[in-house]
Amino acid sequence: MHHCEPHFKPGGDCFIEVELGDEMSFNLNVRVHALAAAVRAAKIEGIVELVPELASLLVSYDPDRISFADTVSEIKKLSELTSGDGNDGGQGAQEMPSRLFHVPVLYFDPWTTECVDDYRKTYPDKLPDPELLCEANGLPDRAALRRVHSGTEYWVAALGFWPGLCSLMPLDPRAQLNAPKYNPPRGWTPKGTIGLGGGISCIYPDRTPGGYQIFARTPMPTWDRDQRLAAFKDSPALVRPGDRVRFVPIERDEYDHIEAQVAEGTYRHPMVDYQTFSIPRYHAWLRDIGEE
Amino acid sequence: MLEILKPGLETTVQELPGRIGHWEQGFPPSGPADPWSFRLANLLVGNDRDTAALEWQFVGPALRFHRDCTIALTGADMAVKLDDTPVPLWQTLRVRTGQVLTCGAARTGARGYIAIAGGVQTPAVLGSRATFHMAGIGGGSGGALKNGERLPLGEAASSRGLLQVAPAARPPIDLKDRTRHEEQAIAAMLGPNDSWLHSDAIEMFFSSEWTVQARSNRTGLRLTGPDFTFSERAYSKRPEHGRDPSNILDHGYPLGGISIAGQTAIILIHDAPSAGGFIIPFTVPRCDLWRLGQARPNEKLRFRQVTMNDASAARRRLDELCSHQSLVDLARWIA
Amino acid sequence: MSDAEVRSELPGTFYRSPAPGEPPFVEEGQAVKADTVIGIIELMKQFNDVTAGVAGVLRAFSVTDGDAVDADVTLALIATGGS
Repeated sequence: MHHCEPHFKPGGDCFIEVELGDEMSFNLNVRVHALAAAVRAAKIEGIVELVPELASLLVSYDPDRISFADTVSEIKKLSELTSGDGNDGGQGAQEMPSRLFHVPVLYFDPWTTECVDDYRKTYPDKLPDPELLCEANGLPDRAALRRVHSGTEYWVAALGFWPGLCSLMPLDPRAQLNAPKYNPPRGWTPKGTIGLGGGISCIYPDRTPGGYQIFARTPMPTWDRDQRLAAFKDSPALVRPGDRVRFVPIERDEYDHIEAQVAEGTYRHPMVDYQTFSIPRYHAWLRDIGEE
Repeated sequence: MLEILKPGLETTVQELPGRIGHWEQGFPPSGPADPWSFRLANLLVGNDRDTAALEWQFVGPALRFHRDCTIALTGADMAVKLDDTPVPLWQTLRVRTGQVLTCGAARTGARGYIAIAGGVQTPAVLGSRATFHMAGIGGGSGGALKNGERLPLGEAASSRGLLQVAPAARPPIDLKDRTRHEEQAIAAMLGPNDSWLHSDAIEMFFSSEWTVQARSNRTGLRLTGPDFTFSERAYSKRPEHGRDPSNILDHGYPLGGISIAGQTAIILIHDAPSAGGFIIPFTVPRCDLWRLGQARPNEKLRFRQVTMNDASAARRRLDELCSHQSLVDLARWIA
Repeated sequence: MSDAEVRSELPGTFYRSPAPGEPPFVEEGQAVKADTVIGIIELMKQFNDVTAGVAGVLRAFSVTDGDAVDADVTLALIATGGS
């Protein structure tokens, strides 16, 4: 559900949570990004930074330069301008630049398998993740899981929890997969693992604890602390909210080849930076495929 | 130049306002967990109060100075020596080339600061010298200081003489120094997700004792205490929020936010995750973040509810205390 | 016979074994050297070795496995022999 008006809740005296709705959907998330873009463009004196998330925006402000009430009032004005979702002919964000990453992925790789087996030594009742995903989504086999999961572009809705960890929403609703999270979570996950939890996919930027179901791995780094590779020129974290990702299935020999290039420092990330994402055309496409 | 002879438990370079502008990629602000003590240390050595300095945790470092320096130590009380001579905290100290500063362990509180005139000049990463140890960001070699590491120092501004922080201007880190009512319990404001708790749970939170768990660190202060009860809002929600009543759609985590993960209260401090899927019914305002930075394992904490106005007034008072008006010129007292 | 006290340097949680289910580092009555690890204190998700500090016989532990300890608390007594 989208709120008619954003809800503003204080988080102490220096932060405000601006809640635009309470569902996980592309339409709502795009409004979050549009509002964040508008707030940034307005260069409001005293607003320090923004953390856009799935259905809300965290605003960090300097209370000695702008009050809570004035911050709320400025953002409310901007949200009225950006609240259309492009679908209803409203004035909302129509187009935004959006980079696209082609992420090479080895599905059902040996390293995530080993990680799941390690967990199952302590929790033997856990179904292996690929099988759990097939069962939870009515898919007949692993080949179907790979076909569905890689058959859509994903929208980078947010980053968070760990630096560089992205939350990905499938842009084709027919490819929406769902899965419960690990309970309790795993103590470790191989760097580059592809995970799925709730309705969100992610790429683990480093070897970290985690709770998503895991079933694939990419040799393409999304985190480079020392910023060695060209793609990390501006930040140790590769993706930003508003980017898109496409998973490209590869075989083991290509995985090893890419990994060697990464080690040598010669790897160039397959990234496209000349496209804009058109929201009205996205909605028109959804209608065409009968998904709206 | 500063040489690290022993790093202590986890000592890092920190500065204010911390790392700004990269939170949406998952980089927290970091910075000193007790900004009150941090700022006074810098003022004692004639630095701008936000200059990069060292933060130590529970056990301080041993350092050798490779040039004459003016330094100051503040924060948690501990025994510290310059070569073989004990030296006091909260006061400007003069150090000669080759001298060794040896720090002990915190007797009360958790963290302390070592400021050097001219500041610590490690390279800025993503615009800041503040260290985010977990991801190896900031510091001389990426993360907490290591044995044998050498840190560059900046040029000192002209000396301001021998100064001391007036006792009344120091944070009451030791329990016995908390004589004023507002110093007993930690300030907490309702929000952003207070509507997800049952009103009984809100009352329970402000009237209970919360014990700091030993595994707390800069990514979060974990508390042990009574169980929470939740409101209807936490139960009738769309499935994508998650099944547990404390689950919410992933949202940004404010600094000082008190999250409830299942039944565990975890206070988000300077290196906490930028976002997550647990509710935050209360948030500690900026004026009392220092209390979280000085919380000791097994310490029993209490919280008191404050309004935005209370928090603003306290923030402004603290800002005034972190200024030259809190410093006393020692030279006046020398006969 | 004099007893030396092993005192904690850190606050935290004291454990007698490296991990749950594993045998303790030392038993009461065991001979120890100054650098013998007799326990660990967990703090800030890190595990810090506690060493005997003196050579002798570990007479008794003053705390139990899993106890919350503060800094400068007696953890164990070591009989050093001689006067």
